Amino acid sequence: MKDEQIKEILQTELSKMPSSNFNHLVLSAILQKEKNRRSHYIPFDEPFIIGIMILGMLVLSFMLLYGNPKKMDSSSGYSNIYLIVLLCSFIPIFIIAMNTITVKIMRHKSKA
Amino acid sequence: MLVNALQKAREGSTTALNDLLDKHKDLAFSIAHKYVKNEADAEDIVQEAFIKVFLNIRQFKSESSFSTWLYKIIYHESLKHLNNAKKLITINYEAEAEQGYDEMKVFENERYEIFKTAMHCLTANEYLVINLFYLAEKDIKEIVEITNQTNSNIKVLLYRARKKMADYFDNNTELKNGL
Repeated sequence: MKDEQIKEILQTELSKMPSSNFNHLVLSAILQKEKNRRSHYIPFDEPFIIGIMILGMLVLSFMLLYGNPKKMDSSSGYSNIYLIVLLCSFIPIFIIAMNTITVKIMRHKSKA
Repeated sequence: MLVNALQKAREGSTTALNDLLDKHKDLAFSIAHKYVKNEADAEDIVQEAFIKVFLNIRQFKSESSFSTWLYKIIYHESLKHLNNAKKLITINYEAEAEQGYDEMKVFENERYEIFKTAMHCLTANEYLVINLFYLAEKDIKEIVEITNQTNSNIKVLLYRARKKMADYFDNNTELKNGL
């Protein structure tokens, strides 16, 4: 059997996908892509988050280096303020960092 | 021109990607259909493949051609679908287009029927390989990349597909006349 005959048979037998179905599938794919993009949406740009994290780490480092709770007079409440500021700095940074890591993992999984 | 379309698609042009997919949609659909024997399931497979293409086009590195990449996705999605379904594959003869009074159209429908019947002699893998080789004009190396099978396996599948088709048409005079 000649190659041209085989090619002709295969071409004739090929199941043609209707254009309307094709358009529907492409549209679904575009919508899915958009849905994925939105589900991974972070309200801040990544450099902004990284900047916040670095600033937070600097504040924490400064406070750890120069702040000394033992020298603080507990009655004056400075130690409490120190702890509050520490917590207030750390918790948002922690939340943002975990969010970024989670999103990166999800993006990596969706690509896989 | 194809390289430009691919470049535009990677940059985010939906129209360019649409054009690329349009070029290969029929063979992609046929391959999926041959594996799952069901139009609805074949469309699901093609849809999954299109979604993967849309999501990952920016990461596509052009180490192989776009069509190789697409058919590879179709093939693996088809196998995944079969594994998930774990059901017997039944041959589903779909109703064909209505017959018109146009003689040429009637003749073309009959040829289509003849060839479609002939294709039932091929297994899904044989159908895949022979279509990739003749219609998609892929070489053995590219088919190996698409199917993750060995070089010798692909050659055996191709040989068997050609032989089956030749034997089928030789044994059926009516089919032979259809050529």
